[in-house]
Amino acid sequence: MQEREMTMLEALNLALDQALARDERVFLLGEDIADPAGGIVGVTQGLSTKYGHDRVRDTPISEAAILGAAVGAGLQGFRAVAEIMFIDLIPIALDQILNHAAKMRFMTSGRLSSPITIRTATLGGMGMGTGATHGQTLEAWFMHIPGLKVAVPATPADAKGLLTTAIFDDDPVLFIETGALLGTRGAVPVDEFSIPFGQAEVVRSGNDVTIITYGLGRPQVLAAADTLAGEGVSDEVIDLRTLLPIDFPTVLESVAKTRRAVIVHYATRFAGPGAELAATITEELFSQLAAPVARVGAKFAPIPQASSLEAEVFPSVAAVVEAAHRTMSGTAEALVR
Amino acid sequence: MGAFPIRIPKVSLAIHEATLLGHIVEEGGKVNEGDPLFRIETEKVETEVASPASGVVHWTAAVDETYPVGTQIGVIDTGD
Amino acid sequence: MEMRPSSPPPAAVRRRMYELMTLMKAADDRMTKGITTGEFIAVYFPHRGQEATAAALGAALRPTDQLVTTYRGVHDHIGKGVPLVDLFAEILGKDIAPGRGKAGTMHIASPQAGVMLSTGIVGAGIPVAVGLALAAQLEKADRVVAVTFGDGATNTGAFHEAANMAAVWNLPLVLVCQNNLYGEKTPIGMTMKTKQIADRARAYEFPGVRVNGNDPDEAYATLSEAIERARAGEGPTLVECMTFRFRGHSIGDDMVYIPKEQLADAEAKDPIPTYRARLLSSGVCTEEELSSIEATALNTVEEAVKTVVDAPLPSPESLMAHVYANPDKAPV
Repeated sequence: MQEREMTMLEALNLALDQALARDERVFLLGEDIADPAGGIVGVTQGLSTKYGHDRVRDTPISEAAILGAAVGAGLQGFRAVAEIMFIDLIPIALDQILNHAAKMRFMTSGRLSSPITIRTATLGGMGMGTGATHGQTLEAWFMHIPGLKVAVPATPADAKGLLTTAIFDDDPVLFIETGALLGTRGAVPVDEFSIPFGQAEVVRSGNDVTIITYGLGRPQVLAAADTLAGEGVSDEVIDLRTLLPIDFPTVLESVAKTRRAVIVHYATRFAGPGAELAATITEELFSQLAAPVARVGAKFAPIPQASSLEAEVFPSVAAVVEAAHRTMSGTAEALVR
Repeated sequence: MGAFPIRIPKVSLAIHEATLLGHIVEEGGKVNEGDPLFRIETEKVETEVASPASGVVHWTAAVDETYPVGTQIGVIDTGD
Repeated sequence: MEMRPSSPPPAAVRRRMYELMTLMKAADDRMTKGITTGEFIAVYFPHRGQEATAAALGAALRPTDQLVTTYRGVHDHIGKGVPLVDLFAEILGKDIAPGRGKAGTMHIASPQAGVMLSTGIVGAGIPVAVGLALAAQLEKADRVVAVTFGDGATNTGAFHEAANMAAVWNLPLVLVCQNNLYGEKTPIGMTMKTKQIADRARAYEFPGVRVNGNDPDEAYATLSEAIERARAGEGPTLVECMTFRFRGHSIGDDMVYIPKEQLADAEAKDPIPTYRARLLSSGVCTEEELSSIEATALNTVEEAVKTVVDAPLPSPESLMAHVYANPDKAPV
């Protein structure tokens, strides 16, 4: 497949462009998404000019009505892609995700469904000082909603492939973009392509420890992996790409090999996605583990404004390295006991 | 012969059980659908329960005892 | 929209509305009886007293038009032509229910009849109806969407967001407020300064009309006008239908918050005997025809209850069906 170097922002734009071109029942709605604004950071730039304001539709600042309208159009067979500018704003409209989009198929025994895609973004970790209400990492909340799917891409290619899957999947999808990654560049297939949900990527192969992450955790983990490699630790890095569903087969296969696992995310460590991963790894592989599963996540504090404090709340590269060390030293301690 | 069960009703969302206070129609008596049949108490509120069917009443559960909602406490012999 | 004095609807429509009202009442009476006598256990939100608006709406909408209603929506479903077996089976959670025991009273959908959603979340159906109306507009279909809700829903953000959006996009939507004077258990005088809910439409620059929602002829005339306005591309209308709820919020509600005189007054003006007398005196129906309609309603309800009571519960194995369209690797 022909590839081109582009930013994640460009990759998202291209995925939306190709979805609009492929299926007339795809349409976009959200605040400021139409030209000339083209989105708060430009993800939808040019699309309303190309496809018209009916299909790339500016809305009032009315999150509940945006998602409600997406759900209603979905009942009639449209594939609405609704943008909620930031994930911190989703609680205003959570009812439409929790009580409507995610439940329609179940409650009607498959006669109706609302296969909407909700595009949103987290600004956590950008160091922009967006603070407590515009910098949260809330994906774990949505892992409690049967009927919903949750994708968190970390690379431009994954952003394009996963967004295409989200739009054409017959289930509702929360698609979380990471502000701090929108400018990252990478090779992206130019033609339309999709990445199945529940298919993690083994980013790096190794034998000593498995480090599992997603989203903004990925560059942190890869930086830590370089440090660890310099120390002679052979680490395997897994990017989950979707949190609902989680690709447990890939995770368990890797940890069965390395016997050690570290989980890294920007969501809070307490009751974060890592808790589910650690529990499942322990349940499935208890007798094979060489050390307790280690978790690295955000501290349980609101996101502060100052860059010095924001750096403190989110996981650092050093914290990932330290967690990996803990799983290595845990082996010796376990043997002594 | 049709037999229509008499059960403790769930008269409001928060009720899980009720005390059977007394029979309004005695054993072997005749009742018409919709007429008062027995009395229950839930959370200190007394409620008269109407008969779900017409016929001859036979009681199978003791008065002054507390039963979960849905418990069968008697039967109406509907004669059809 | 100007309220014009209008001639009554055609005789066939009036007869149909009486049939629907009678069936709605019989269904409500039967569910209430079944629950209060202990015959079955169910969550149910009675509509008794509110039949006229639902019958008028059902008669005014085309079969291809769509409807969104609420947890207190069995009358709306009947008006739109949903079979009683489907409704009772949903309420009692039986396997023969369209939702196969996964919906229940608050969540009945009947897409074949055009009822796309019942919501248990006050106000939440209005934005969904906006989406359905947007779909009709995008498809350039001549379909109209009606959404019914109570007075309390007009205090939610969802109502205001949706009303504004419907106005901005000029959608083929009719907002039908069944104002029964109580938001759950609180009288509306304590929850809004607005004298007429219909006036709330003015904030969004579309027409709002208050009608006597217990008079099917009056409700039908206004709703029909609003529906045809929407169909003609002239945008949304809010119709406030004044009515009353005879049996409280849900079965078992002791209604201590409703003054006895208010309830007695409302019951004295029960829309069903009132309409019956009018049809008789105006010669639309004979006594025999009306009696026959009433007997048919009772029979239809009894047959449906029997079918549903005898039907099995869904099998436990069916739990995970339809959580996802594509459940690959989904948690269990």
